[in-house]
Amino acid sequence: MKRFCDNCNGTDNRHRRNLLDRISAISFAVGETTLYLDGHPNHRMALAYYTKMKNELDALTGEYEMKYGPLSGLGIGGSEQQGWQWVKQPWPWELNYPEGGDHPELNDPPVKLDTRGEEE
Amino acid sequence: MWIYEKKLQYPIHIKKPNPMYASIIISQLGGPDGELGAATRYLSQRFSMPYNEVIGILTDVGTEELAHVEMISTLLYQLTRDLTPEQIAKAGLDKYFVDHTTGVYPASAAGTPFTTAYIGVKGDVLADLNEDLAADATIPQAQPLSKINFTDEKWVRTSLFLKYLKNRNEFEIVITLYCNIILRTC
Repeated sequence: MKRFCDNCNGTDNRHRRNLLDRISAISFAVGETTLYLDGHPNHRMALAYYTKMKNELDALTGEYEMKYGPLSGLGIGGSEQQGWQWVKQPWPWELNYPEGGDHPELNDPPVKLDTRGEEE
Repeated sequence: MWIYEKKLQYPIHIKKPNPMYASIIISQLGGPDGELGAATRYLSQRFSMPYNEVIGILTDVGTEELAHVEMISTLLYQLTRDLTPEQIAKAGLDKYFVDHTTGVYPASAAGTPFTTAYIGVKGDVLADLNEDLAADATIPQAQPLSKINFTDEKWVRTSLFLKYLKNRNEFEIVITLYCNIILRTC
């Protein structure tokens, strides 16, 4: 079995940030599809999309937790060798939490905002 | 029950603290159209809701509102770090600071502590769903846009804007569902 948390100290930060961003994006898709399915419980296309996205999310989350540390409260919180990583790693509001990955589109707001009356 | 996920729904890294923005954005946490009210409204209305589909939406939207509570709280935490007494006074944050320092306390921008007087739970399907629609309708006008226009920091704007984009029609969908399937009227 793979050793838990190979890179807990952030030796592969770029991969970690990109993986976390990917997890965020897929989570968003799973969440939105969940809401749609609540109102349309028999929609076959939505169900197929949900299954695909959920499988991808579980795979990516498993990969992240093995390599970098716990993400879910019921995931792998730590080990006898590594200690309880859940409280040893930064919380998501802290500035040392892994920052966004290499996604240039995130440098701008997704839609042009009304900037009238603001200083450039 | 709920399980915590150790990540934000959308990542936030504020480069430059700004107590003035914080003093405005706090209303999105504990103000009349804030996230704490939204979460409390949806999660509380579930118990008297007679339809499974609607209970599902209230559960999942209410849960997501808790993630928004955490996002707005993160904005406040990061915007108010490393402040000098002069910056606090100049930004008008002094009246908040004297009671809460830079702790994240759910209140409106005018200082009213969070109250459930902001929300409605009536135990009636249409009354509650219309309350939800009304709350949802505050999003484009009253919520992020007024606060976005106060800010120029990229992460503040983007994360508030995400919430604006999430102005979904979930509740309109369930009201239509209710009317079509259950009442067969509209």
